[in-house]
Amino acid sequence: MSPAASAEGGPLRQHFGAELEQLSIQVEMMGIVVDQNLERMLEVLRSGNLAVAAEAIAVDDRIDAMNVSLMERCHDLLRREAPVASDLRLIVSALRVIGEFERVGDLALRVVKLAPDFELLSRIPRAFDILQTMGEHAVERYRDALRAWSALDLELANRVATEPPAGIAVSQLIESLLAYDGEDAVVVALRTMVAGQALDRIADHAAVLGARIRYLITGDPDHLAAEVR
Amino acid sequence: MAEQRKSFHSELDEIRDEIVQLGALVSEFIPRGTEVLLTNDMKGALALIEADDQLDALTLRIEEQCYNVLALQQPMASDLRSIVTAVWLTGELERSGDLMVNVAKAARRIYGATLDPKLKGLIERMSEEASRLVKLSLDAYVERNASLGAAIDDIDDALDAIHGDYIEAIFESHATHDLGLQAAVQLALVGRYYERIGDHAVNIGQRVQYMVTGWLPEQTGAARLKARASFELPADLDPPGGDADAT
Repeated sequence: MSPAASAEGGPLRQHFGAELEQLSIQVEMMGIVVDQNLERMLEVLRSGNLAVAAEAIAVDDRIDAMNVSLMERCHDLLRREAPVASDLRLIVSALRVIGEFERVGDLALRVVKLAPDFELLSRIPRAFDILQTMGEHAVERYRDALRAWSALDLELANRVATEPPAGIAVSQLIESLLAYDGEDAVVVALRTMVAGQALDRIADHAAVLGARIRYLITGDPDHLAAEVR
Repeated sequence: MAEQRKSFHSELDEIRDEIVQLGALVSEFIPRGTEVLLTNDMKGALALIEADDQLDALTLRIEEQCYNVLALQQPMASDLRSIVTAVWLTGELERSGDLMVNVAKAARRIYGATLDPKLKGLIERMSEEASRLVKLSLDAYVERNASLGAAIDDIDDALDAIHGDYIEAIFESHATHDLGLQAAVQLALVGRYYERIGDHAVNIGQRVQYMVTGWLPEQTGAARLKARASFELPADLDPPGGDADAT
């Protein structure tokens, strides 16, 4: 991402421009670490692998540390530089984006922590299959949002922001759960819905990221309005 | 010039008042949406769906106001946290409102379905609990009460427990053929919406804690990482996967 226009001018403004560029790259780094944990989440969802689950739980602490550190950095820049226009938009957007990344990481962890219940999650083949599809869809949308941030790609951001939510998949998931009449039907349904809900929300957060990045690129208040759905 | 500008603190107060107004709108949405669902009130459903525009407009106004304050003033640490918290809270409240709009839409989709008294009772309890959580989270915000903000996570356990009973009741009702498949699916989704309102209230509580004390829930994870890096690894090695800190 290019540093803000205010990098033009004296050495102090150039230094500020470099700091903004560094900030946007570090936000992207945080996004990549979250992406890696999403990959672990998909693996846990496919196999129930407990070792991968443990690894993901440990990595989440790193995501938390990045969030805290980047938030402090943003606050410091706001206090120190009193930014305006596109610089202010970048810093405020970075704050929103890292918050969304952190939430996506937490939701991934919610799925990962179901690893000991893998047997329950895979009890109903159709529900299991829908969960896999929902997981892949959510991660794909998140990755598009991350790419839109890295490249400041308006078209991609727009696509992520406006793609219809996967509500149908959640309905299908519930239908498949209701069709099962085993003794453990309720406990299977509750665990599966926790996973389904988390995956659905990851996709929602990706859409919010898309809307936020679109606003960052254009500065158009109508695009800010699009985040409020 | 300086006289013409509103004082910084009066702008902060204005933002707080508007957040409270937004919260009041959301608090009103919860019983309204529940009533629509339980009484098959299609007129009420439409009114609620349309009222969401008001909520969205207020959300945007508050967010823009926060950006203006950031651009025109130079807030110091705790004031800055208040503004950043306000931006976060608008998002949490706006999404809670959207969830009640989803309840109204679900009511339209199951129009004519008969809900047994047990299901109705559980929906009422989830609604009351969600309302209580939103109210408590707003109280924590207005009173700048970090302890109350922190407690909301545990208070939310009650809603999660009712949600579990509710899913069980849907299964029972569906198994005895009292409740059709589509209605059962919509009702299961409705349960999720209440549960998510509770999650948003928990998030608000955590943001209030941050506003008052500067503490973020993520700091616990960050501290764990630091401890692991100090105690488990030789001092001359980096933590696995690189630097722990993004800065």
